[in-house]
Amino acid sequence: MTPVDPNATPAAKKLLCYLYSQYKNHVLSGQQETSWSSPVGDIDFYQTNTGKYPAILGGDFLYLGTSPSSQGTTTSRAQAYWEAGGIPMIRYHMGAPPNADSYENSMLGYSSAQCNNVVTAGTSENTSYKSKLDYVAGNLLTLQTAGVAVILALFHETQQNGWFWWSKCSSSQFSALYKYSYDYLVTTKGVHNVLRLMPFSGTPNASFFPGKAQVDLAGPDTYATNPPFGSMYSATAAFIGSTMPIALHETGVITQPSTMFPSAAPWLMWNVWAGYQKSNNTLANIKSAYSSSYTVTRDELPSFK
Amino acid sequence: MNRMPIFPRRKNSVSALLWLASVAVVLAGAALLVGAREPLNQSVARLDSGEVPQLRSPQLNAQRSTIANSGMTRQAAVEREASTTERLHQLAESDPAAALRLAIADNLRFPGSTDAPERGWIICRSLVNLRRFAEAVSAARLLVEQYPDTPWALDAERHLLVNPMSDPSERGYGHQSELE
Repeated sequence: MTPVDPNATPAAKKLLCYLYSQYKNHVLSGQQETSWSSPVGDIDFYQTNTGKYPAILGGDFLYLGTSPSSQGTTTSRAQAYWEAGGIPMIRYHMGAPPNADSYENSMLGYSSAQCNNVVTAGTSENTSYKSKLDYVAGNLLTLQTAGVAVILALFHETQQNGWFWWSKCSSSQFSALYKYSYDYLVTTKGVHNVLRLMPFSGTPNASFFPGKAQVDLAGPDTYATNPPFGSMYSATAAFIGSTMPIALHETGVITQPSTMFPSAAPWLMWNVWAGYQKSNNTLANIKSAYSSSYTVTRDELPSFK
Repeated sequence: MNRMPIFPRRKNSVSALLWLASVAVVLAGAALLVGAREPLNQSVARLDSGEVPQLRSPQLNAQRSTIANSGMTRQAAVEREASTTERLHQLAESDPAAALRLAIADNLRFPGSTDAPERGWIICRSLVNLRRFAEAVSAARLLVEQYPDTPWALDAERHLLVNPMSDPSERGYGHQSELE
């Protein structure tokens, strides 16, 4: 199994092969960092309570640094996690071009004209957008130089009229945006160390799927409290197919692996959202999930070097 | 130390009056006339002026239900409410100001109904679409308090009560535009 980028780095290729090997028989544990505030604690929480670290560390390119700054940047923390044996997965609450990056601005309305402009050279939207992609590329190239492979989850929670500006575009406009973005990163900027995760919301919509030629992984997210979310898994598989790994790329509640397998909802991963590991999960739930023979933790990952 | 979601869910119920007052202070700096009955058109007029969107507790709304639905059969009221809620979803994206007015009016017309959490969510979304983020956060907080564990509250919580609306660690902090 090869990434959609034919020039993907060896690490990215190995990572994808590994993910495929685990799909439907194991689930990778994951945790999104509270990037804006002391993210070290998010991961240490698991070590303290389970003796394990999540396999996947979620980051966000919106946040340049952390508080306190001694904890590093999103990029430096991704690299450190990789070097410690983990897998970085990074998303980006990008401000709607031409607005600056902020969480607020990631939720701005976006007109049809702007959806067209953002991929059209010479517009203010496009000029801004390329600047943002340049920023992403710079960070990904830093990681590429260090031999790190990244699961990149651009445009998270995509759905018709979703919360974020990219979801205000039509399905055809979104597909154009998606393709433009990865073409720019890969062809123009030379980024080859990413696996492309197409991150839907809790209502995955086939019309917003850019196609298997553009996507390595896909999946929905949910903050519902009735895991294992079998109906959502099935709804995603209905158009993703039975082969491409389906990732629960954001969730509030950790799904017990025993309820997922063998076929109820065999997610590739879970990625608990920032802070939810404490607010929405009991310690008993976390310990049970982390001790499951189905669950992959950081110490169990192979080397992708 | 990890930061919990920035607006931790309140574990103990708070009287509807205190919540409405706190929302008023946060959003408009003026106390609502909580508990006082006012004609529907006055509520809408206050909203048009930019005042607080109201998410009233079932208890507070109970006294209005008879007045709001007088002359209408129960079935007719349910059907009417469902049709307006569907319309609200569409308006929240195309005309969020109108959606906001109508959602608040429907909260008065159908107080504490099954669709109330959904309308609360529409209020949150409408405020976001109007770039009234601080009010959206307050409305989300109230929604979570009044209708916890509903899909609408869970969704509003994730999107409005976890990531700070603005933080110095954000890449664009202090800038309005990427092009600055």
